[in-house]
Amino acid sequence: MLQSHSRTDGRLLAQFRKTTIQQGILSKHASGSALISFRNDESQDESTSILAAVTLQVGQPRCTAAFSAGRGDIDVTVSSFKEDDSINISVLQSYLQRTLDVCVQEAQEDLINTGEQNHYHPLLLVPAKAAIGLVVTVKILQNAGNVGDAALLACIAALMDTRIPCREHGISLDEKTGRIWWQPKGYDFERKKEGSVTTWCRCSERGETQHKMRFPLLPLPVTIGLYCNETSEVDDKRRNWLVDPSSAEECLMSTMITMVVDGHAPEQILLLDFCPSFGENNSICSLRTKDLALVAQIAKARAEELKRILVA
Amino acid sequence: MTEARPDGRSANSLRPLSCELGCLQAADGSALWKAGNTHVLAAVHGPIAPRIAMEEHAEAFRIQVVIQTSSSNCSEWEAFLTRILTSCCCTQLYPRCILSITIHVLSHDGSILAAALHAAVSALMDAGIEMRTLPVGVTCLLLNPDILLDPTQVEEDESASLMLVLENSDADQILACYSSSSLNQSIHNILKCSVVAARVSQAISAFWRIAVESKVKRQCETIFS
Repeated sequence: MLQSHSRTDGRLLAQFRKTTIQQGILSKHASGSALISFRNDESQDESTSILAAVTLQVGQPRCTAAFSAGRGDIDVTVSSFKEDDSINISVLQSYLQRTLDVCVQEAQEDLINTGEQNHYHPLLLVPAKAAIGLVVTVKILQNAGNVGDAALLACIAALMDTRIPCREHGISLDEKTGRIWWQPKGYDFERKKEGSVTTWCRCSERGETQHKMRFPLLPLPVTIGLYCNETSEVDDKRRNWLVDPSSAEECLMSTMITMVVDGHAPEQILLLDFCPSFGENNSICSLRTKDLALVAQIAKARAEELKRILVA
Repeated sequence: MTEARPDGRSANSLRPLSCELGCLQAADGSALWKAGNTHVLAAVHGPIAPRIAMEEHAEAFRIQVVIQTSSSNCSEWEAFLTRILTSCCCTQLYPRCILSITIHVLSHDGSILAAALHAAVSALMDAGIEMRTLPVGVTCLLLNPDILLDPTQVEEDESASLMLVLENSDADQILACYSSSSLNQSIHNILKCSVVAARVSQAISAFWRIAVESKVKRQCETIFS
């Protein structure tokens, strides 16, 4: 396979599977949703398909150094449609939680602020008392390899599809019962001025009660497998890079590298994880500095392609 | 110019290290690793026959790592350490066996994953498990333009950290890498970490030699006293 520089599924070593993203697929039941599939060929049944849905719940805000009044939180749950020993659900869940937490922390509202900055997190409802929590549920429908990338992309697409309530329609908290009240749709919102701060909302002018969030940090992943061929004498020919490995290829890899870059600035690396794999090829294959530079170039090109698909 | 760190260290210095081998009598191998106020205890049991036949591997022994800590990333750390230790040990020497490594975090003050790796490797050495290479972990905190090594918990709360595992203390042989949170760094800055980490990892390898030599010396004194 490696000598002919093509794979069992007909792809080249540096060729990704076709990525399709459908947003709003569960619009009746969830605030945001997306279905991602990595498919090699339209005629083939085998594909990696992940469904992600975002629902909202109101709870205590999370106070941090950057957001002293509090901010909303994100909670990720992963499950598989059928039992699959090749996927470690708890590890995948922890990886998604770690990555999406930063994405949500940097989120901004899709509105215009004027006057002095009194910047609250877009998920904050009542400072230090109530905030919106995002519950992301990920379902692995089919696994044909590279589940980590597909799951993260599904979560990102679902978050971009999520609509959260506008805060400027008057939110009040009844502290006795713990209930939060929004003004109903069509309410004639008057622009409020508290001290020197004036805020007005684009969505109130359109009569909308919900809007989407903007993400200054857009984490886009790429996973590459490294296969070390011990029989080759030349050091460079000993290493073979396979992008977007399938489930059969994942078992053979010496090392799996996952790099997450910022879609708005692809030269900035947000996450870098790699460790030796449990492949049949049980030799140690360490990475060199030029290997990491090569992975960064591949990640940058892939991020630009994924951003075009997400924004389209 | 780099500001002084809260504990007075320079950017490239590690916290004081301490390693006690064979501290648990009931385990086949054990080690108590201390790096400043981060204390980690590792115990190795095995190689033994697994209780469940399905856990057997016909040609090599399997390693199971369990980390007892309150961190939410526990499962990721267990999988990460399992893969590193499996690749570094000569697993073909004990086929159809299982090697269980339990790691307790006694005191948490930053750079936990590196301390857990060092404690596990020390416990494996104490148990007499043959290894192909000694993996050395170095945690780097990226604060543009400085790189701080072996950060404390206070420093890790302020910025993202990156743990590099090097093979043979060589900057060009990076065995594994784990980033705690959003790095938001260029590849150039990340590669600088490997150069800085390689220099420090030689000190950790030398420290391991001292720890093993002191254990052997203590045992000889006990036998011949």
